[in-house]
Amino acid sequence: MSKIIGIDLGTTNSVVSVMEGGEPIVIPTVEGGRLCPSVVAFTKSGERLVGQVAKRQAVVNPENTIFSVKRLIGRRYDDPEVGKARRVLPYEIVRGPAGDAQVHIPQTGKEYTPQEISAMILRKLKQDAEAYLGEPVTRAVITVPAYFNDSQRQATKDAGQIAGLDVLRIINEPTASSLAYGMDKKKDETILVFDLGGGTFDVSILDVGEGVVEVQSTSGDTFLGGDDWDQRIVDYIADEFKKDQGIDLCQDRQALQRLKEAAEKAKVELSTVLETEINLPFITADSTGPKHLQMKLARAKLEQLTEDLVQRCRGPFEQALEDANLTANDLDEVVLVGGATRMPMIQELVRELTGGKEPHKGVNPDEVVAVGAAIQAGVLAGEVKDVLLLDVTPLTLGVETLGGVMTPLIERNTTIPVRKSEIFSTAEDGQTAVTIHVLQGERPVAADNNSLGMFNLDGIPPAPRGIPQVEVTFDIDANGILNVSAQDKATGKEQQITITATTNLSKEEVERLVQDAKRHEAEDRRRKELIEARNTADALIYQMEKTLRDLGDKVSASDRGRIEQISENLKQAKEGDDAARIRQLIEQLQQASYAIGQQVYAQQQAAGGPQAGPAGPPPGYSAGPPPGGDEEVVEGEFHEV
Amino acid sequence: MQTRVRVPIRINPSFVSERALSAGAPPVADAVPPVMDRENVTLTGSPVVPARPETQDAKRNTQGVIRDTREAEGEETLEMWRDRALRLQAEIENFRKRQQRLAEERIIADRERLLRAFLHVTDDLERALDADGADAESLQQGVGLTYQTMVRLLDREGVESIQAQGQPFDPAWHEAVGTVPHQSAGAEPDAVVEVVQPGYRLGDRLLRPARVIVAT
Repeated sequence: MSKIIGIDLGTTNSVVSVMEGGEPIVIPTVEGGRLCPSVVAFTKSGERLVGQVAKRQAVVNPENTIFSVKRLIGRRYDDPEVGKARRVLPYEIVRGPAGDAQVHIPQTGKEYTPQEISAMILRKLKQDAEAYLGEPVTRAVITVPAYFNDSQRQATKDAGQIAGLDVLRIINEPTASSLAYGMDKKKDETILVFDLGGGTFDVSILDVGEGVVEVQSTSGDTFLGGDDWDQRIVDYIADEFKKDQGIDLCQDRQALQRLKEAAEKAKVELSTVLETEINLPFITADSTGPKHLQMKLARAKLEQLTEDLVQRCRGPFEQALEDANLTANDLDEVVLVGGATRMPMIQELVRELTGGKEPHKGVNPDEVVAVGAAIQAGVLAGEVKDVLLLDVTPLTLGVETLGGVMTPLIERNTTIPVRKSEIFSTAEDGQTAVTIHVLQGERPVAADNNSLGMFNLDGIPPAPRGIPQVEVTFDIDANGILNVSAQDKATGKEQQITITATTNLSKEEVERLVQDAKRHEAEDRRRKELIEARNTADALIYQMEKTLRDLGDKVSASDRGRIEQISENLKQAKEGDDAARIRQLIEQLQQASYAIGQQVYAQQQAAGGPQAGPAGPPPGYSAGPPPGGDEEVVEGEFHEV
Repeated sequence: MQTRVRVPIRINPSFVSERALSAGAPPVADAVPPVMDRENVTLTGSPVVPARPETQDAKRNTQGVIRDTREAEGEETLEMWRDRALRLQAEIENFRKRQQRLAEERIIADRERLLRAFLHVTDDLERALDADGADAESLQQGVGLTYQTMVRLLDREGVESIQAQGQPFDPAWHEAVGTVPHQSAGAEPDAVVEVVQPGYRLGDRLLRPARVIVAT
């Protein structure tokens, strides 16, 4: 069955989303953006353009470039909204045979219904979704404003059909927004959806209970949006520049373009900082030379410039409450939708209007509606029901290894059930048993973590250190029960321990442990480095002693003496805390070992026959590359076998 | 098959000397026993015989219930498949998490690379600003060289300038910000008469459209 996509068919921009693996994903357009401008154009060459590319030629082709067609869909020509739209839209709106509003395209000489225009946008979204998913898409959920009447809803559905989509459901935008925040799981709550987009403002009050979402009331302003804020900034900058330099930037097309961009950028920045700089070098020129624009804009100033716009949001809010017969106190949750709600002044307004409620804003406000539509689509596809939510292990699990460090086997936030194995070995020659100490936590030093259990595996045949292979396996089943086993590969002997209750920590406790680890990160790292340095030193000293024994006479007395001296120094250093010194001496010892290696091979060649060379690293362990070899030395604890 | 061998786990020293003395003797009591103060911790298996999960026969017998062999086997199979299915799902989720992390790391690494390259240009511009007693011409030269550095940097990254001036207007690569009547501009209709802001492409991808004035 093909995937069902969720579409936010907006006045200015459209977004398409789909459930993937239980999560809603916003599908990017083939041009790479996450928003698709709701613009359709008919070009001279007979082409039909949709989206960003249509927008780019609007200025040269205003009569054949259709935008904001959502203002017309499903409406009659005589509708006052259509009248308002006609006054501001540069293309021709005509009365259709049935009295509906249609657009006339001079380029083709034909009339098109808003459904047909919207269908072109939907078709592009469908194609982009198919390109992304790699499969055909035939079904969709499309959102509409809560105030859309039957005719508008039907027209939207028709648009989908024309585009080749079976529209399984038309849902209200505020409802979709609440779905995106999981509000449908709430019991009997009243939700306020505050939607301030690029060009329109909508307030809705919803009632949620037992998985059913009902719209109680809606209100808004169809000509209020983020673009108005941009315009205020542009006007302000231009005015200041005029006062300062006597030049009207609005007359200069180039300058105006840059101004608009800078204004939008400043607005966005002022959502996170209190003051921003507007820098436009070489903005224009006059007889005296080039002119530069540089000014600071404070958030407070922006708020002052746009205070009336903010005030315009109050009316619809009050109206919606009144229509629903409620007071601000009756509101349980607040959801913010639309890019403009990122502005602190809007968030403050909402807090003030709702008596201090903290609004939900985790989902990208430009994408909330589409995400909600995708969730609805998922429910219709039966997907959301079938997805089993698996647990994760909240903290890292591992074992204690040489030097008292924790070696992780399963990282935190790994989905369970899961199984991980690693091979370990012995630290001493002749060691016939190992202790498996199971730890839980984020710190590199074993003692700083939670001990979950401990057991021994013995009966390991005596061998030089590093030779035995003990496979340690961590297995967490779907219930969170941890089974740790250790098996000696030589004898097949195995021991096992079962630990329950590894995922029973509260979120706060887990968070605290994670923060703890972060706080101690620097010092923990130093401690771990020291331990690793000591371990490497140990291994190298052992190695060198063995090499010297094996080579016997082949090593000159002076070389032997030198190596023994460095080893002695290293032995002392590793009792201390100076990791850098230990590493330094390790390096020295390694260099010394290469030197004798070279020597011995030179001797061999001189002698002409095969001789026992310096014992290479015992299979399974090396502290340094074999003389003349280029095997990588891995500092610290491990190597490739 | 390559496996990584970690430095061995060290058991407590007293145990070692014990072993060295009594080679081959079974483990002594002071071998650190499993921690018992945690509830729900159980140690399974005996030290002598390789410990394996109880066999199915054992399970059936100890339960003391006579069950139909096939029924018991059917249950196991169901359980087995269920476990397999859950593990597979977990694997997919873990895989997805890893991929996401890798993708994020790659993106950051590439950003760093790019930003480092830009730092050179910043250095040069700082020098331009600090240049004392520079006349307009030498300043121009210096800035010009800095500009060249920038252009080469972009070029190395695969950025190309978009042809616009004099070309037929193409909304795929150009953004129209104004129009002029073609007669007064002395140009063909639909030709780009002025580039207000240059555009750039990254191979086939549009990086930034050229902002142009078009003759109509």
